[in-house]
Amino acid sequence: MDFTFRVSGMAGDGVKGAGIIAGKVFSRLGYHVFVHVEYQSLIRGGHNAAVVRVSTQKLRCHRKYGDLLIALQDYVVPVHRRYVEQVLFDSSKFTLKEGLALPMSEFAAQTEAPPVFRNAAALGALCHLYGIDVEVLNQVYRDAYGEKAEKDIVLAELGYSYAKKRFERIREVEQIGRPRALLDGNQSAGLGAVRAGLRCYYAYPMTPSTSLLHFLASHRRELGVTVVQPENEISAAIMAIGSAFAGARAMVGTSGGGFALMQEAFSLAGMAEIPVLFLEAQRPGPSTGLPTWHAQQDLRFVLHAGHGEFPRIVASPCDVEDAFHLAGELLNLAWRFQSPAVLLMDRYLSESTATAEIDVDAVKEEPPLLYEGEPEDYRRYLITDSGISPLAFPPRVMLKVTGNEHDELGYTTDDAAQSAAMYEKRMRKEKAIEEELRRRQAVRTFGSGRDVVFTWGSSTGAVIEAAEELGLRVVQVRYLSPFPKWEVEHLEFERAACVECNYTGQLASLLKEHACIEAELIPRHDGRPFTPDELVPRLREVFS
Amino acid sequence: MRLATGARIVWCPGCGNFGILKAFTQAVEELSAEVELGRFVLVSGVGCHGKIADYIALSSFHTIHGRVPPLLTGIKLANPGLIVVGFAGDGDMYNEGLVHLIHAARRNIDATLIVHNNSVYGLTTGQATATSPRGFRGRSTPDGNPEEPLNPIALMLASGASFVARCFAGDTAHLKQIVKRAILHRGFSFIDVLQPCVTFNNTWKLYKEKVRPIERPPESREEAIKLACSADSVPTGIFYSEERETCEEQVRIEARHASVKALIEKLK
Repeated sequence: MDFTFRVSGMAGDGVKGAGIIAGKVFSRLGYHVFVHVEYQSLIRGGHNAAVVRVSTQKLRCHRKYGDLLIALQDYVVPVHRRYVEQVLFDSSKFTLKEGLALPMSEFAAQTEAPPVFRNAAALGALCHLYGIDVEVLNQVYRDAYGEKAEKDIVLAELGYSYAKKRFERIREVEQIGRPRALLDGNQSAGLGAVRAGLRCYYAYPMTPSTSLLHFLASHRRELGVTVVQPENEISAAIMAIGSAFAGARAMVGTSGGGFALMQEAFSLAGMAEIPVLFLEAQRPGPSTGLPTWHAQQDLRFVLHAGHGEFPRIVASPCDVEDAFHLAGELLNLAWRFQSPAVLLMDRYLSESTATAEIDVDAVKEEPPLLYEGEPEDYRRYLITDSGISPLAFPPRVMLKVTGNEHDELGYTTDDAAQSAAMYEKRMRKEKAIEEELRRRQAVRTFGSGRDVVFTWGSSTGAVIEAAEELGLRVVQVRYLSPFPKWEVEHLEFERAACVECNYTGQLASLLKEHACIEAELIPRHDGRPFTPDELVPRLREVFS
Repeated sequence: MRLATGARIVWCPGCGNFGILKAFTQAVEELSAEVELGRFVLVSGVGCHGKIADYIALSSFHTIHGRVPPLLTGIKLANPGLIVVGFAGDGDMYNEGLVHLIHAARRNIDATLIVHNNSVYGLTTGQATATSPRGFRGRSTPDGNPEEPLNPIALMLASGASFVARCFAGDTAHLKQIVKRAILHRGFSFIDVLQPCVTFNNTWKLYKEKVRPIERPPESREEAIKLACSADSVPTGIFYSEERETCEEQVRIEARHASVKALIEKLK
């Protein structure tokens, strides 16, 4: 079973909330769910949509075509009509020539609830259409809103009974398993970092990273994480560096524009060898770009971020589970190699809500190399073969750290021999990181086939489904710095394509640079993520 | 000096920084009877003042230009048992990183910030800063500085700093006393230290004439602002001090075993 429905209206209609509540109804019944939201950069009016896909198989993306549209405004109908079989609409607000008429606003008025509550009546009707006991929905409301759920439940019941008398069922959806957790990519990344010992999270609000700030702020006590929203991104990055200097694991979250502001701090983390995890949730640029839409344009930017040369660890997850594992792995690696790390997310992964089987025990805090000698003998930047110097923190030791070139003790120097030796020590860590990544999953392969599709980040989801249909092999490049040359250069294949949401083909160019692979680029740069429906013909064109 | 590091001091002879170094190390030595020295963490920015981190045998982080306040904040939030003291220059703090200064004051992080205010960029060889007087002839303002100088004391008072003082690098006994008070103050303590730059803005004579101790300490923030805005003299001492809840008391969450599994259950 694999079906899709949509909810659409204007900003302020509670479209996203309705999509997630509806998604939860199905995840409670044991289904895999994927909720993709589209919205504009405004608070009231405009056009918002939530696309909810339900399946018996694991989901990493949505599909365009589906059963039903729940229309909360008349002007959204033409936008979605061609993708759906039927429209369930608010007949107290407008009329349609055909469709399932439900007087949602009248029900809301009868219940003395604000108009935004009308989508509860729509979700009640949805339960009938999919043959689900409305009590499942009521319980989702109770768990979400507690005592305040009363009116939602009354409205859900009204919608359900009204639909039962008038509408034919679309499907019979039965309970097939235990409830599944439903969370977005950002939240999952946050939990992975928490498992790896996160103590401080600093972030300035910026779409599409903000849901992590909200999530960690609301759960900070149970997670033991200090959450601060400082005056700007520069401050966020520097605060994180301060916390890590004092021994606490810290992360910042932002998008491309915010990460641009953090460049100098990123470089400081490289020079001072301070482990900080940067979560960069990409959106379309340049500049403010399309603030609420999707892109994978910042790969090259992140790989070259910060002035000067220094090792950094960069990885990009493909789905909600991968975000959990990679966030935890990167925070641990950052501490092990005392280098900045970037978890390169993208809007489609950051803000899509999906069911996930998270193996919480797979991530735990891995201790860094700690100094065990006498405090007075401590050398913060001790020159070692691996480039890694043992860590210690005040008050146990006198810790000297600086963004200037320094000697082993951490005092400023401009001596040529000392400077070169310290530069080389830092750069040796790159080799050490590479050796470690060789033991980890730097790339992941899905399916088999003589032809290969390379991809990265959330595009992987749509590529896997399209490739399955066409019998292609998919290679997701998970670690991007150091680039896993050792994994890709020996790959055997006939023809190759590269799917990514940018114009220039940033991964494609890395494949060429590091492994002399010529992959035909399938780009997308209209702010929308790939869907399997759209990818199949484009892949077919390349491999025909 | 017990706190000397052996690093060669490279400030110009006669630099006001020597007075600040002396007063600060004396203050710390006097406090060492009650405070373990290992708990001190110093942060310095970029500029001549920034080298101070190399000259004091205490933990330190010589950071990048303008970013001393958020670094102090991050350190204190990670470990509130540390005593964090920042050193910044006027170009560092009143130009490059002004936004951080204002917000650190509002936030009231328990930290001390000492601004080496010599009204000139020294290390980049003599350009006007935010506190250079109008008409100042620097190498980038050959016809004189066209901008009005900023009033750091009034700005910090208006920004909600809970301890605001001004000192003169030429009066190390007074500076030492104020530094001790600032360190012991619970909350954000700000000291603007008037510091001559013998090479690019030699104000020794000017300050010796104009600097006067505050006669009657202001009783309110409003009175303090009034005093800070008085044009004729350059009063030194504590303009204002109040106790209020600190940033770390309000926002810091103690580390605990994180219940990730329980939270994931709730997301079902």
